Order: sequence, then structure tokens, then C-alpha cells
Amino acid sequence: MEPGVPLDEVVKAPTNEFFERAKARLNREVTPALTDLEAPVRIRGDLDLDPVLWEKAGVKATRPAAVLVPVVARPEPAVLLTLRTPELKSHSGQIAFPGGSIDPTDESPQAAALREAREEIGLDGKFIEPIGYLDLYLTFSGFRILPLVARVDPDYRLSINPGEVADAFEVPLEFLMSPANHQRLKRDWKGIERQYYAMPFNDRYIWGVTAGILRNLYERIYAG
Amino acid sequence: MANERRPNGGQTGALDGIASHARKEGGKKGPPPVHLWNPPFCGDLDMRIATDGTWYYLKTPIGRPALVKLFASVLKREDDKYFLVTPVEKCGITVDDAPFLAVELKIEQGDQGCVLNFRTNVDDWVACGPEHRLRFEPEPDTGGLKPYLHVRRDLWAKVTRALFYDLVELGEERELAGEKMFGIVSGGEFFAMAPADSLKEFA
Repeated sequence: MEPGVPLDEVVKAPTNEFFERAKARLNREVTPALTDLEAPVRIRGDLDLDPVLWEKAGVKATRPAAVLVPVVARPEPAVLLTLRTPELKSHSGQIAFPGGSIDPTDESPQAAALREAREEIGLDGKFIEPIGYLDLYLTFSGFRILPLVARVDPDYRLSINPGEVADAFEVPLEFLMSPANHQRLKRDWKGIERQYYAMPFNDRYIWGVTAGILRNLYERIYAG
Repeated sequence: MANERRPNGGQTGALDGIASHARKEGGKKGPPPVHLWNPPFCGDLDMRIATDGTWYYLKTPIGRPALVKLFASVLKREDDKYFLVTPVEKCGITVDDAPFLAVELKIEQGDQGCVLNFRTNVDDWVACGPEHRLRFEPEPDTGGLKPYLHVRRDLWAKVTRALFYDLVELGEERELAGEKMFGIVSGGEFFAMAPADSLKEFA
């Protein structure tokens, strides 16, 4: 804290509750479980409502990946999401965060998330202030995703890569962080009852990995 | 207006004193020796630490993490009362549950096996073990458990729900005094959560 600033002013400085909480509560450390498949970790991800099903499903999440959870610092903060093009190999046509596999040349998961944001939606690093990591999220499609939460300058500009992203849009944080909007649904997947979250916002159907990561954000920042 | 008063009833004077002392102490190594200070009581401040770890001053959240850390460094507990102390003054504050929150978990393998390192909301890292114990209190409303971690000198951190789920996932069963208990190992110690057969109630 700066000495000499009158305490009255400091105490009453405007608070931006979400970002303050996020700074205090998000992970600073990169979990070893990102690359170490044997490291002790609570399985959080697709099926995390019923972890024994992972065994039955016979899939292994092995590929380290990173996504950016961009929270735009407006008076009413919003989350920036993308709609993936139908042509992509994985999670095509779904609502997603910018992100992808961590390359050997990426210095850190954070670097990978920032690189992907630049490649997919042309979001420059100068608009992004990284805050911290969420919990590792394992997907049925084989990824071990480490989400990086970041504050995004509301004056950001995008340049969307049409090969990967069909659209980018904001959804109010308040909507996404209201547990009443967190639907728990079930779907049959190769004879296994697969559980997942969905948070439909108007005509945007947010579900699966993206909804699961948003649910984790809620749990880390607001629950208990 | 002749009767105009400072909106906080003149509390800022005491708080300024605490902040300036804490700043001086902050330059030294380790937390200030608040246990050695026993100054006269100067009344209660309108300051409160809520269950979610947020610090309020005059009913407004303190928006500066550096200031919260400063006050946290001179926090002292006597029985169930909490104070901010300096060598010359001691002011009461309200703590709704525990003064700190454990928000991040890092697992390390040490000589004695697994060590759970917790970061608090005011950025202290605490290695759980014989010196920094975990305790689990029944939560009558839900039938669940509330986990706490000892930070320093009778000051505890409430472990967030998200981390508690991690602990449950990492837990194991051991027999204690003939009873099978479910709990967690850290720093060579076993911290019992509950009888193993009651697992379903809190997991």
C-alpha cells in the first residue's frame, strides 16, 4: 500500500467485487496434474458429478490444454465467449472459450491461453490482465484443460479467425454466476448416462465443457 | 453545518495509527509479534470480517488487498474476541466465522509423505501438519462438516467448499481407538473428518 495516502480514501476506494475476489481466490500455481496423469487430483470435468463413470467410459484425458476465461471489466462485467465453426475437429459448432492444446513452445499454460486468444479471435495481450487458474478440467474428448481467468479491458478489439470461430459475444457475468441458471442435465453417451451443466442464455446454448468451467468459476469465487 | 461530524465518529484516527504501525512492522521479517503487545483497549472499530473472508470497514468492503493484508498482519485473538493491535493501541473488530479463508491447495511430496500447502485469502502459505492442524466441525444446518486450518496463534482459516471437496477426494480410512475414521494425511499427521460409515452424509 502507498504510504501517505489518507486512509479514508484508501478504505473507500471503489471495489470491483468480482476481480478482487478472483485475485484472492484463484490458483496461482499450475497443478502438476496438468501433465502428470498419476498426480493426485479430484476429477473435475465431464462426468464429475459421477466420477466412477470415467472408468466405465474407458476414455483417458491426456492432452494438456489451456483456455482463456475472459471477463470484460465493464460496470456490469461480462464473459467473452466464442462460437466454434462447424468444420473444427473437436467441439465443433459449440460455444467455447478461446483456447486449445498447450504447444511445446508455450512457456506456460498462461502463454498458451493468450496465444490461442490471439490466434482465434485476435484479442491482443495488451487488453488482457491474467488473474489466476481454475481447477483442472478433464474432458471426454481427451483434454486436460487448465482455464486461465483474466480481466479484459472493455475497449478491446477483436479480429476473428473465420476458420476457427464463427462468432464472439458477451454474456453477463451475473447471469452465469447465478446458480439458478445452472441446469444439471443427463444425456446418454454410448450407453452411459452422462451428466453435464447447461446455461442457456437467450439463443446461446452454453453447455458441456464451457458450462462446467463456468460452474467451477462460480464455486471458486462465490460458493462457501 | 455546526454539528457536522466525521461520518465514522472519529474512528479513522485509531485506524490510521494501526495502519502506520503495521506498515513499519511489515518491513521486518515474519508477522509482527502481536502476542507480545498488550496495550490499553481503545474501543471497537466498525470493522467486520464476513464468513466469505471479505473485510468491511464502515459497512463497505475494503477494496484494497494490500490494506487487508496489513490489518491481517496485526490481528490478535483473545478468547473469542478479535483485535487489531499495535504496541500502543488495541481495537476490537467483529469476525463472523474464521478470520481467514483457505483458497488454494498445493500438494507436495516431502520426507514424511504428502504435505498439503494451503494459501489463504491474504496470501500466507501454510503447510498443514502438527503445527498447522486441520479440524472439522459439524454443521448442524446441513449435517455436513466445516473444515478449518490453523494459521497462527489461535487464528484459523475456513477451508472453502471447493478445497474441501479436494480433501474428501484425497482422503483415506484409518482405525482410531477401534473406530474406522475417514480423514486426510498431511505432514505425517492424520486429521480425522468423521466416522467412515458416515461418509455419505458429508461427501
